Amino acid sequence: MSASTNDTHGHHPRLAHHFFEMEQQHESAKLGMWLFLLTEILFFGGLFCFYGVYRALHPEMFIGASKMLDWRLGGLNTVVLLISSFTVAMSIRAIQQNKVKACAFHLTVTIVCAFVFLVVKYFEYTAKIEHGLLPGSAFSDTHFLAQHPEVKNPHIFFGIYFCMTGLHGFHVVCGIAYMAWLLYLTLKGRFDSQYYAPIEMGGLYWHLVDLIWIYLFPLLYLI
Amino acid sequence: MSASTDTHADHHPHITPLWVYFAVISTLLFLTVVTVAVAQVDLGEVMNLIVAMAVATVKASLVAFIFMHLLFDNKFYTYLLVASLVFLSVFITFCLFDTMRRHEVRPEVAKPIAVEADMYTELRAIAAEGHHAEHGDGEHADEDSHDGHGTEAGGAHAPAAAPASGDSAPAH
Repeated sequence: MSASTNDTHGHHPRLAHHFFEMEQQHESAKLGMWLFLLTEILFFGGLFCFYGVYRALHPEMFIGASKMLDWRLGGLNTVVLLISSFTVAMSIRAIQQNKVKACAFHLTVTIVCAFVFLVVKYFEYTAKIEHGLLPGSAFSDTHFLAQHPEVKNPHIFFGIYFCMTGLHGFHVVCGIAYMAWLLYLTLKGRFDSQYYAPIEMGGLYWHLVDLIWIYLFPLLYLI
Repeated sequence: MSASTDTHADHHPHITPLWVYFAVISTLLFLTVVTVAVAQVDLGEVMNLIVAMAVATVKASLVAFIFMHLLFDNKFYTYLLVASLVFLSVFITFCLFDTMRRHEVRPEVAKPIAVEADMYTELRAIAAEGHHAEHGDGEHADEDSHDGHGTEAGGAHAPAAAPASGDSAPAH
């Protein structure tokens, strides 16, 4: 594994030398990952604050504009992400037991679920764009205005919608890239029951992406 | 790989039992159904929001404590997470203190969003005509779009007699 000439290494080849033992290395990675996740929470928190302020000031606008979102697609995406969270947890559980094939399988399903999420998002977005339900001054859906004359300034809602789901979608894309890399490494035999920290960290990231969607869904689709 | 002198190079992580994972995902899916169902019932705007957030928080807790393993890990990680949520709450709460009460400090000038953004004059005209005007009317009379706003006062926060010196008027 490691092309080291020092054959008296009495430790796991993946133990970096500034760590005392594997567990310490693992916990160290976990701490760093959690700190990153906290910054992500505050990152999205800014957008949630924006949502909070605007919804508090213009509740009827939110209610009216959110009618244009299909809760069934949002619900489907919620289910898909929950299942992907389950499979990523299963992949970690598998590698903890040295079951490399099972780990790879669950990682694959996770990636597939993530793609399904993006495909559903694609359909949602194209429908919005087609109707002209766009953020800011790009808003041009006169049909919506004719049907809902009482809703003022719906372009604000769609600004929030595209920003929040867009940023979230970007996180999903990054997650897919990382998961794909993990899958590749898993198939190459990089991980075992002693060393699987990158998978667990990827799992933590993925769960956070799911967490954010758990809050986005009712706030945007189920008003 | 471990033999030598290490007493415990192997760490034995807590492996969550399979049934726990299955129980959690089932509960999560059920709670998703609950989320949708409860949104159909009208409990008043505030209660609907509270209930929706409560259900979401239960789901989030399940994901955080079981899937993300916080329940079985060093408590420090949980403290970290809670700390970030505390800061997030402070952030949103204090912003809302200001937002909801600022009109008590001094009267608010009607901002364009309270009246309605300028762009809607044309859009609503098109909507009213029922799409008779195909796009490109040509006469984009810009000069009239600022004063003659039918101030229907969409937002309840626009006080009446506000000398709204058109903040976004490009004329000057």
